[in-house]
Amino acid sequence: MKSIRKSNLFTTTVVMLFFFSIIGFWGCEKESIFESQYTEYLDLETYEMSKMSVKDMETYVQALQRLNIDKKNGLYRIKQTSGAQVNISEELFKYITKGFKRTNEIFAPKTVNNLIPRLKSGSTEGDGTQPSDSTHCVAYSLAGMGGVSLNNAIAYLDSLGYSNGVPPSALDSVVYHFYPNARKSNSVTQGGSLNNAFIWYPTSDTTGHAVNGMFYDSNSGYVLYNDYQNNQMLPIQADSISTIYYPY
Amino acid sequence: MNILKLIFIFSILFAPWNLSAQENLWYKKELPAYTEYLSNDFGIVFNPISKFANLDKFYVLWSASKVPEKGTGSIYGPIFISKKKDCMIMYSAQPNFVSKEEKERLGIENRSFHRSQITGEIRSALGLYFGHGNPLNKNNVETRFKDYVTIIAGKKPYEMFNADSIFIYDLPNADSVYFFDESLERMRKEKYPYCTGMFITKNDRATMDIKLFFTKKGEKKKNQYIEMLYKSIWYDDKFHYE
Repeated sequence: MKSIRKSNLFTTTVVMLFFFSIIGFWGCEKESIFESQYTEYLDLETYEMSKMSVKDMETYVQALQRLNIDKKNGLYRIKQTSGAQVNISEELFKYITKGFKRTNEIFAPKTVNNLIPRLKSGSTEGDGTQPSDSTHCVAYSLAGMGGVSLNNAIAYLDSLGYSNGVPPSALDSVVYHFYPNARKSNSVTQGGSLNNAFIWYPTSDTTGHAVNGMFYDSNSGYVLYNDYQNNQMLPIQADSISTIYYPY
Repeated sequence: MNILKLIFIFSILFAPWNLSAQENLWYKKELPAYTEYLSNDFGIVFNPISKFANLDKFYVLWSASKVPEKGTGSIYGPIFISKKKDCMIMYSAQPNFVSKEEKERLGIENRSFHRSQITGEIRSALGLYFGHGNPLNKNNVETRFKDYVTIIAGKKPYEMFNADSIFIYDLPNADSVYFFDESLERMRKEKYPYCTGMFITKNDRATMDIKLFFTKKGEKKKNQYIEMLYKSIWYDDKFHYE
Protein backbone atom coordinates (compact mmCIF):
# COMPACT_ATOMS: atom_id res chain seq x y z
CA MET A 1 0.00 0.00 0.00
CA LYS A 2 2.80 2.33 0.90
CA SER A 3 4.67 1.69 -2.37
CA ILE A 4 1.52 2.30 -4.41
CA ARG A 5 0.99 5.62 -2.65
CA LYS A 6 4.60 6.57 -3.30
CA SER A 7 4.28 5.66 -6.97
CA ASN A 8 1.14 7.77 -7.40
CA LEU A 9 2.80 10.61 -5.61
CA PHE A 10 5.80 10.43 -7.91
CA THR A 11 3.67 10.40 -11.06
CA THR A 12 1.55 13.28 -9.87
CA THR A 13 4.64 15.21 -8.87
CA VAL A 14 6.24 14.74 -12.28
CA VAL A 15 3.05 15.78 -14.07
CA MET A 16 2.65 18.86 -11.87
CA LEU A 17 6.27 19.86 -12.30
CA PHE A 18 6.01 19.40 -16.06
CA PHE A 19 2.89 21.52 -16.22
CA PHE A 20 4.26 24.34 -14.12
CA SER A 21 7.61 24.21 -15.90
CA ILE A 22 5.84 24.85 -19.18
CA ILE A 23 4.13 27.84 -17.62
CA GLY A 24 7.45 29.02 -16.24
CA PHE A 25 9.23 28.86 -19.57
CA TRP A 26 6.32 30.43 -21.34
CA GLY A 27 6.34 33.14 -18.69
CA CYS A 28 9.91 34.03 -19.66
CA GLU A 29 8.68 35.20 -23.01
CA LYS A 30 5.55 37.01 -21.94
CA GLU A 31 5.64 40.13 -19.85
CA SER A 32 2.05 41.07 -20.38
CA ILE A 33 0.63 38.57 -17.89
CA PHE A 34 1.31 40.96 -15.05
CA GLU A 35 -0.65 43.68 -16.71
CA SER A 36 -3.86 41.64 -16.74
CA GLN A 37 -7.08 43.51 -16.09
CA TYR A 38 -10.00 42.12 -14.14
CA THR A 39 -12.32 43.38 -16.88
CA GLU A 40 -11.40 40.41 -19.05
CA TYR A 41 -13.40 37.29 -18.25
CA LEU A 42 -11.11 34.26 -18.04
CA ASP A 43 -11.87 30.65 -18.83
CA LEU A 44 -9.97 27.74 -20.33
CA GLU A 45 -10.91 26.09 -23.61
CA THR A 46 -10.16 22.69 -22.13
CA TYR A 47 -9.41 21.33 -18.70
CA GLU A 48 -7.61 18.28 -20.02
CA MET A 49 -3.96 18.89 -19.39
CA SER A 50 -2.77 17.02 -22.49
CA LYS A 51 -4.97 19.16 -24.76
CA MET A 52 -4.17 22.51 -23.22
CA SER A 53 -2.86 25.16 -25.57
CA VAL A 54 -0.34 27.88 -24.73
CA LYS A 55 -3.29 30.27 -24.63
CA ASP A 56 -4.92 28.16 -21.92
CA MET A 57 -1.73 28.21 -19.91
CA GLU A 58 -1.55 31.98 -20.30
CA THR A 59 -5.11 32.26 -19.09
CA TYR A 60 -4.33 29.98 -16.16
CA VAL A 61 -1.40 32.15 -15.05
CA GLN A 62 -3.47 35.34 -15.50
CA ALA A 63 -6.14 33.87 -13.28
CA LEU A 64 -3.51 32.89 -10.72
CA GLN A 65 -2.29 36.48 -10.59
CA ARG A 66 -5.76 37.76 -9.79
CA LEU A 67 -6.23 35.56 -6.75
CA ASN A 68 -5.19 36.58 -3.28
CA ILE A 69 -3.19 33.64 -2.02
CA ASP A 70 -1.52 33.37 1.36
CA LYS A 71 0.09 30.66 3.40
CA LYS A 72 -0.75 29.53 6.90
CA ASN A 73 0.90 26.68 8.78
CA GLY A 74 2.67 25.69 5.58
CA LEU A 75 -0.60 25.40 3.64
CA TYR A 76 -1.95 27.63 0.94
CA ARG A 77 -5.25 29.41 1.25
CA ILE A 78 -7.05 31.23 -1.51
CA LYS A 79 -8.96 34.14 -0.03
CA GLN A 80 -11.55 34.32 -2.80
CA THR A 81 -14.43 31.93 -2.48
CA SER A 82 -15.71 32.09 -6.03
CA GLY A 83 -14.46 32.79 -9.53
CA ALA A 84 -16.89 35.65 -9.93
CA GLN A 85 -14.95 37.71 -7.41
CA VAL A 86 -12.03 38.01 -9.84
CA ASN A 87 -14.02 37.61 -13.05
CA ILE A 88 -12.94 34.09 -13.91
CA SER A 89 -15.14 31.07 -14.60
CA GLU A 90 -16.20 28.95 -11.67
CA GLU A 91 -14.71 25.92 -13.39
CA LEU A 92 -11.34 27.62 -13.68
CA PHE A 93 -11.58 28.73 -10.05
CA LYS A 94 -12.27 25.15 -8.97
CA TYR A 95 -9.45 23.90 -11.18
CA ILE A 96 -6.99 26.29 -9.50
CA THR A 97 -8.16 25.61 -5.96
CA LYS A 98 -7.98 21.88 -6.66
CA GLY A 99 -4.43 22.38 -7.96
CA PHE A 100 -3.39 24.18 -4.79
CA LYS A 101 -5.04 21.54 -2.66
CA ARG A 102 -3.01 18.93 -4.52
CA THR A 103 0.12 21.08 -4.15
CA ASN A 104 -0.47 21.30 -0.40
CA GLU A 105 -0.78 17.53 -0.20
CA ILE A 106 2.02 16.62 -2.57
CA PHE A 107 4.66 19.09 -1.55
CA ALA A 108 4.37 18.83 2.18
CA PRO A 109 7.96 19.18 3.45
CA LYS A 110 8.23 15.57 4.61
CA THR A 111 7.57 14.20 1.14
CA VAL A 112 10.29 16.14 -0.62
CA ASN A 113 13.20 14.18 -1.97
CA ASN A 114 16.09 15.49 0.09
CA LEU A 115 18.64 14.23 -2.39
CA ILE A 116 17.79 17.05 -4.80
CA PRO A 117 20.04 20.05 -4.12
CA ARG A 118 17.88 22.93 -2.93
CA LEU A 119 18.55 26.60 -2.45
CA LYS A 120 18.16 26.76 1.24
CA SER A 121 20.54 27.18 4.06
CA GLY A 122 21.39 25.12 7.08
CA SER A 123 19.55 25.54 10.32
CA THR A 124 20.00 28.86 12.05
CA GLU A 125 17.71 28.24 14.96
CA GLY A 126 18.78 30.02 18.08
CA ASP A 127 21.36 32.31 16.55
CA GLY A 128 19.15 35.36 16.92
CA THR A 129 19.43 36.09 13.23
CA GLN A 130 17.31 33.28 11.92
CA PRO A 131 14.85 33.96 9.14
CA SER A 132 11.14 33.47 9.52
CA ASP A 133 11.26 30.83 6.81
CA SER A 134 14.63 29.43 5.84
CA THR A 135 13.56 27.93 2.53
CA HIS A 136 12.30 31.04 0.81
CA CYS A 137 15.51 32.93 0.15
CA VAL A 138 14.84 32.87 -3.61
CA ALA A 139 11.41 34.45 -3.08
CA TYR A 140 12.92 37.14 -0.86
CA SER A 141 15.56 37.87 -3.47
CA LEU A 142 13.02 37.99 -6.29
CA ALA A 143 11.04 40.49 -4.20
CA GLY A 144 14.27 42.34 -3.39
CA MET A 145 14.79 43.02 -7.09
CA GLY A 146 11.72 45.23 -6.87
CA GLY A 147 9.22 43.83 -9.35
CA VAL A 148 7.20 41.32 -7.36
CA SER A 149 5.88 40.97 -3.83
CA LEU A 150 7.25 38.31 -1.52
CA ASN A 151 3.83 36.66 -1.24
CA ASN A 152 3.40 36.41 -5.01
CA ALA A 153 6.92 35.07 -5.43
CA ILE A 154 6.37 32.46 -2.72
CA ALA A 155 3.00 31.46 -4.19
CA TYR A 156 4.55 31.06 -7.63
CA LEU A 157 7.54 29.05 -6.39
CA ASP A 158 5.37 26.85 -4.25
CA SER A 159 2.96 26.26 -7.11
CA LEU A 160 5.97 24.85 -8.96
CA GLY A 161 6.71 22.59 -6.04
CA TYR A 162 9.64 24.57 -4.67
CA SER A 163 8.20 25.09 -1.21
CA ASN A 164 11.25 23.41 0.27
CA GLY A 165 13.80 25.32 -1.80
CA VAL A 166 14.51 25.98 -5.45
CA PRO A 167 16.86 23.64 -7.35
CA PRO A 168 19.78 25.60 -8.92
CA SER A 169 18.77 24.24 -12.32
CA ALA A 170 15.42 26.05 -12.01
CA LEU A 171 16.89 29.47 -11.15
CA ASP A 172 16.85 30.74 -14.73
CA SER A 173 13.20 29.96 -15.26
CA VAL A 174 12.00 31.51 -11.99
CA VAL A 175 14.08 34.67 -12.37
CA TYR A 176 13.13 35.18 -16.02
CA HIS A 177 9.51 34.51 -15.19
CA PHE A 178 9.36 37.69 -13.11
CA TYR A 179 12.18 39.57 -14.84
CA PRO A 180 12.17 38.67 -18.55
CA ASN A 181 14.83 41.31 -19.25
CA ALA A 182 17.23 40.23 -16.49
CA ARG A 183 20.87 39.86 -17.55
CA LYS A 184 22.59 36.76 -16.25
CA SER A 185 26.30 36.57 -15.48
CA ASN A 186 28.57 34.13 -13.71
CA SER A 187 30.71 36.90 -12.25
CA VAL A 188 30.34 40.43 -10.97
CA THR A 189 31.94 42.70 -13.52
CA GLN A 190 31.00 46.28 -12.85
CA GLY A 191 32.01 48.14 -9.70
CA GLY A 192 29.61 50.23 -7.64
CA SER A 193 25.92 49.87 -6.99
CA LEU A 194 24.45 46.49 -7.90
CA ASN A 195 20.89 47.76 -7.86
CA ASN A 196 19.60 44.79 -5.84
CA ALA A 197 20.68 42.26 -8.46
CA PHE A 198 19.73 38.67 -7.65
CA ILE A 199 22.80 36.81 -6.35
CA TRP A 200 23.18 33.13 -5.66
CA TYR A 201 26.13 31.59 -3.86
CA PRO A 202 26.70 28.04 -2.62
CA THR A 203 26.78 27.35 1.12
CA SER A 204 27.64 23.65 0.70
CA ASP A 205 27.75 21.04 -2.06
CA THR A 206 24.00 20.74 -2.00
CA THR A 207 22.73 24.05 -0.65
CA GLY A 208 22.99 27.69 -1.55
CA HIS A 209 21.63 31.04 -0.57
CA ALA A 210 19.99 33.78 -2.63
CA VAL A 211 20.46 37.45 -1.73
CA ASN A 212 20.44 40.90 -3.37
CA GLY A 213 23.62 42.70 -4.41
CA MET A 214 24.04 46.15 -2.95
CA PHE A 215 27.57 47.30 -3.85
CA TYR A 216 30.65 45.83 -5.50
CA ASP A 217 34.00 47.19 -4.32
CA SER A 218 36.23 46.29 -7.27
CA ASN A 219 39.37 47.33 -5.34
CA SER A 220 38.92 44.70 -2.64
CA GLY A 221 36.97 42.23 -4.78
CA TYR A 222 34.13 42.08 -2.27
CA VAL A 223 30.41 42.53 -2.68
CA LEU A 224 28.11 43.89 0.02
CA TYR A 225 24.71 42.28 -0.19
CA ASN A 226 21.26 42.75 1.27
CA ASP A 227 19.84 39.63 2.83
CA TYR A 228 16.18 40.61 3.08
CA GLN A 229 15.30 37.24 4.56
CA ASN A 230 17.45 38.09 7.57
CA ASN A 231 17.17 41.87 7.20
CA GLN A 232 20.94 42.28 7.23
CA MET A 233 23.87 43.38 5.12
CA LEU A 234 26.96 41.21 4.74
CA PRO A 235 30.10 41.21 2.59
CA ILE A 236 31.08 38.29 0.37
CA GLN A 237 34.03 37.66 -1.93
CA ALA A 238 32.88 38.27 -5.49
CA ASP A 239 34.54 35.00 -6.55
CA SER A 240 32.20 33.10 -4.22
CA ILE A 241 29.17 34.20 -6.21
CA SER A 242 27.98 31.56 -8.66
CA THR A 243 25.33 33.49 -10.51
CA ILE A 244 24.11 37.06 -10.66
CA TYR A 245 21.00 38.32 -12.46
CA TYR A 246 20.97 42.05 -13.06
CA PRO A 247 17.42 43.38 -13.12
CA TYR A 248 17.82 45.04 -16.56
CA MET B 1 43.45 52.58 -43.80
CA ASN B 2 41.93 55.99 -43.27
CA ILE B 3 41.65 57.77 -39.95
CA LEU B 4 37.91 57.10 -39.61
CA LYS B 5 38.46 53.35 -39.87
CA LEU B 6 41.18 53.57 -37.25
CA ILE B 7 38.90 55.48 -34.86
CA PHE B 8 36.17 52.93 -35.45
CA ILE B 9 38.46 49.96 -34.71
CA PHE B 10 39.84 51.61 -31.58
CA SER B 11 36.40 52.48 -30.33
CA ILE B 12 35.29 48.85 -30.81
CA LEU B 13 38.40 47.53 -29.08
CA PHE B 14 38.34 49.84 -26.11
CA ALA B 15 34.67 50.56 -25.56
CA PRO B 16 34.04 47.45 -23.42
CA TRP B 17 37.08 48.22 -21.28
CA ASN B 18 35.90 51.74 -20.70
CA LEU B 19 32.48 50.51 -19.74
CA SER B 20 33.78 47.93 -17.29
CA ALA B 21 36.03 50.52 -15.69
CA GLN B 22 33.07 52.77 -14.91
CA GLU B 23 31.63 52.56 -11.43
CA ASN B 24 27.97 52.94 -10.82
CA LEU B 25 28.16 55.12 -7.71
CA TRP B 26 25.39 56.68 -5.67
CA TYR B 27 27.39 59.92 -5.56
CA LYS B 28 30.90 61.17 -6.30
CA LYS B 29 33.65 60.29 -3.85
CA GLU B 30 33.72 63.72 -2.26
CA LEU B 31 32.15 65.33 0.79
CA PRO B 32 29.89 67.87 -0.95
CA ALA B 33 28.38 65.10 -3.10
CA TYR B 34 27.75 62.95 0.00
CA THR B 35 26.17 65.89 1.82
CA GLU B 36 23.90 66.60 -1.13
CA TYR B 37 22.95 62.91 -1.45
CA LEU B 38 21.95 62.68 2.21
CA SER B 39 19.93 65.85 1.97
CA ASN B 40 18.17 65.15 -1.33
CA ASP B 41 17.51 61.43 -0.94
CA PHE B 42 16.98 61.07 2.80
CA GLY B 43 16.31 64.53 4.19
CA ILE B 44 19.33 64.26 6.47
CA VAL B 45 21.40 67.39 6.95
CA PHE B 46 25.04 66.44 7.34
CA ASN B 47 27.45 68.66 9.27
CA PRO B 48 31.00 67.31 9.64
CA ILE B 49 32.38 67.55 13.17
CA SER B 50 34.63 70.55 13.53
CA LYS B 51 38.28 69.90 14.32
CA PHE B 52 38.10 66.46 12.74
CA ALA B 53 40.07 65.85 9.54
CA ASN B 54 38.44 64.25 6.53
CA LEU B 55 40.33 61.09 5.50
CA ASP B 56 38.75 61.33 2.07
CA LYS B 57 37.57 57.72 2.16
CA PHE B 58 34.28 56.74 0.58
CA TYR B 59 32.51 53.45 -0.18
CA VAL B 60 34.61 51.46 2.30
CA LEU B 61 33.40 47.96 3.10
CA TRP B 62 33.72 46.86 6.71
CA SER B 63 33.02 43.60 8.52
CA ALA B 64 32.36 42.95 12.21
CA SER B 65 34.00 39.55 11.92
CA LYS B 66 37.57 38.45 12.46
CA VAL B 67 37.02 36.33 9.33
CA PRO B 68 36.49 39.28 7.00
CA GLU B 69 34.21 37.75 4.40
CA LYS B 70 32.12 35.86 6.94
CA GLY B 71 30.10 38.16 9.10
CA THR B 72 27.71 41.06 9.17
CA GLY B 73 29.11 44.24 7.69
CA SER B 74 28.28 47.39 5.87
CA ILE B 75 29.58 50.20 3.71
CA TYR B 76 30.88 53.47 5.10
CA GLY B 77 32.36 56.81 4.23
CA PRO B 78 33.07 59.65 4.78
CA ILE B 79 35.52 58.92 7.57
CA PHE B 80 36.99 61.51 9.91
CA ILE B 81 39.81 61.52 12.43
CA SER B 82 40.25 63.65 15.54
CA LYS B 83 43.11 66.11 15.92
CA LYS B 84 44.86 63.84 18.42
CA LYS B 85 44.13 60.84 16.20
CA ASP B 86 42.61 58.99 19.13
CA CYS B 87 39.14 58.78 17.58
CA MET B 88 37.99 57.87 14.09
CA ILE B 89 34.36 58.31 13.07
CA MET B 90 32.72 56.84 10.01
CA TYR B 91 29.26 57.45 8.65
CA SER B 92 27.11 55.04 6.68
CA ALA B 93 27.65 55.44 2.94
CA GLN B 94 23.95 54.92 2.41
CA PRO B 95 21.42 55.31 5.23
CA ASN B 96 18.98 52.42 5.30
CA PHE B 97 15.50 53.29 4.18
CA VAL B 98 12.73 50.91 3.21
CA SER B 99 9.31 52.49 2.73
CA LYS B 100 6.20 50.97 4.32
CA GLU B 101 5.07 49.74 0.89
CA GLU B 102 8.45 48.16 0.21
CA LYS B 103 8.49 46.53 3.63
CA GLU B 104 5.11 45.00 2.88
CA ARG B 105 6.26 43.86 -0.55
CA LEU B 106 9.41 42.37 0.96
CA GLY B 107 7.55 40.74 3.83
CA ILE B 108 9.65 42.53 6.43
CA GLU B 109 7.03 44.90 7.83
CA ASN B 110 7.44 43.59 11.36
CA ARG B 111 11.22 43.52 11.40
CA SER B 112 13.58 46.42 11.92
CA PHE B 113 16.82 46.57 10.01
CA HIS B 114 18.86 48.15 12.80
CA ARG B 115 18.01 45.42 15.33
CA SER B 116 18.91 42.65 12.88
CA GLN B 117 22.08 44.41 11.80
CA ILE B 118 23.23 45.12 15.36
CA THR B 119 22.52 41.53 16.40
CA GLY B 120 24.46 40.30 13.38
CA GLU B 121 27.41 42.58 14.15
CA ILE B 122 27.58 41.53 17.79
CA ARG B 123 27.29 37.83 17.03
CA SER B 124 29.83 38.13 14.22
CA ALA B 125 32.26 39.91 16.54
CA LEU B 126 31.76 37.20 19.15
CA GLY B 127 32.52 34.51 16.58
CA LEU B 128 29.01 33.09 16.77
CA TYR B 129 27.73 34.12 13.34
CA PHE B 130 29.44 33.76 9.98
CA GLY B 131 26.58 34.50 7.63
CA HIS B 132 23.27 32.88 6.86
CA GLY B 133 23.45 29.10 6.69
CA ASN B 134 27.14 28.90 7.55
CA PRO B 135 27.87 25.58 9.30
CA LEU B 136 30.24 27.40 11.69
CA ASN B 137 27.33 29.39 13.18
CA LYS B 138 26.97 28.64 16.86
CA ASN B 139 23.22 28.69 16.90
CA ASN B 140 22.90 27.15 20.32
CA VAL B 141 24.68 30.09 21.99
CA GLU B 142 22.24 32.86 22.82
CA THR B 143 23.02 36.57 22.91
CA ARG B 144 20.62 38.94 24.56
CA PHE B 145 20.19 42.26 22.77
CA LYS B 146 19.76 44.19 26.02
CA ASP B 147 23.06 42.86 27.39
CA TYR B 148 24.95 44.75 24.71
CA VAL B 149 22.78 47.57 23.45
CA THR B 150 21.53 50.71 25.17
CA ILE B 151 18.48 52.30 23.63
CA ILE B 152 18.02 56.01 24.24
CA ALA B 153 14.67 57.57 23.40
CA GLY B 154 13.04 60.91 24.03
CA LYS B 155 14.77 64.21 24.62
CA LYS B 156 18.38 63.19 23.97
CA PRO B 157 18.00 61.81 20.40
CA TYR B 158 15.65 64.68 19.60
CA GLU B 159 18.18 67.27 20.75
CA MET B 160 21.15 65.55 19.16
CA PHE B 161 19.73 64.56 15.77
CA ASN B 162 16.01 65.39 15.71
CA ALA B 163 15.63 61.60 15.89
CA ASP B 164 13.38 59.22 17.82
CA SER B 165 15.97 56.89 19.26
CA ILE B 166 19.61 55.99 19.42
CA PHE B 167 20.84 52.41 19.67
CA ILE B 168 24.37 52.47 21.07
CA TYR B 169 26.70 49.57 21.84
CA ASP B 170 30.34 48.73 22.33
CA LEU B 171 31.27 46.07 19.83
CA PRO B 172 32.84 43.09 21.64
CA ASN B 173 36.24 41.95 20.33
CA ALA B 174 36.43 45.17 18.35
CA ASP B 175 40.13 44.60 17.71
CA SER B 176 39.09 41.82 15.35
CA VAL B 177 36.86 43.73 12.96
CA TYR B 178 38.03 44.28 9.40
CA PHE B 179 38.28 47.10 6.86
CA PHE B 180 38.40 46.04 3.23
CA ASP B 181 40.54 49.13 2.57
CA GLU B 182 44.21 48.31 3.17
CA SER B 183 45.34 51.63 4.64
CA LEU B 184 42.37 51.83 7.01
CA GLU B 185 42.83 48.24 8.09
CA ARG B 186 46.50 48.94 8.84
CA MET B 187 45.51 52.00 10.90
CA ARG B 188 42.85 50.08 12.78
CA LYS B 189 45.16 47.18 13.57
CA GLU B 190 47.91 49.45 14.84
CA LYS B 191 45.88 51.97 16.81
CA TYR B 192 42.18 51.38 17.27
CA PRO B 193 41.17 48.36 19.37
CA TYR B 194 37.79 49.82 20.44
CA CYS B 195 34.64 50.36 18.43
CA THR B 196 31.28 51.84 19.39
CA GLY B 197 28.31 51.49 17.09
CA MET B 198 25.35 53.83 16.84
CA PHE B 199 22.15 53.45 14.91
CA ILE B 200 20.01 56.56 14.79
CA THR B 201 16.37 56.04 13.92
CA LYS B 202 13.31 58.14 13.24
CA ASN B 203 9.83 56.97 12.35
CA ASP B 204 9.29 56.63 8.57
CA ARG B 205 12.80 57.89 7.89
CA ALA B 206 16.15 56.39 6.94
CA THR B 207 18.28 54.83 9.67
CA MET B 208 21.77 56.27 10.05
CA ASP B 209 24.64 54.05 11.13
CA ILE B 210 27.75 55.60 12.68
CA LYS B 211 30.86 53.80 13.94
CA LEU B 212 33.41 55.32 16.30
CA PHE B 213 36.88 53.76 16.69
CA PHE B 214 39.08 54.60 19.64
CA THR B 215 42.68 54.24 20.69
CA LYS B 216 43.26 53.23 24.32
CA LYS B 217 43.48 56.92 25.26
CA GLY B 218 40.56 57.90 23.07
CA GLU B 219 38.32 55.26 24.64
CA LYS B 220 38.58 57.11 27.94
CA LYS B 221 37.09 60.17 26.25
CA LYS B 222 34.37 58.14 24.52
CA ASN B 223 31.43 60.07 25.95
CA GLN B 224 33.08 63.36 25.07
CA TYR B 225 33.47 62.24 21.44
CA ILE B 226 29.90 60.97 21.30
CA GLU B 227 28.69 64.37 22.50
CA MET B 228 30.62 65.93 19.64
CA LEU B 229 28.25 64.19 17.23
CA TYR B 230 25.60 66.67 18.39
CA LYS B 231 23.79 67.86 15.22
CA SER B 232 26.41 66.30 12.95
CA ILE B 233 23.38 64.76 11.32
CA TRP B 234 19.92 66.26 11.54
CA TYR B 235 16.59 64.90 10.29
CA ASP B 236 14.86 67.64 8.35
CA ASP B 237 11.16 67.59 9.27
CA LYS B 238 10.20 69.26 6.01
CA PHE B 239 11.51 66.34 3.97
CA HIS B 240 9.12 63.91 2.26
CA TYR B 241 10.01 60.90 0.18
CA GLU B 242 8.77 61.15 -3.38
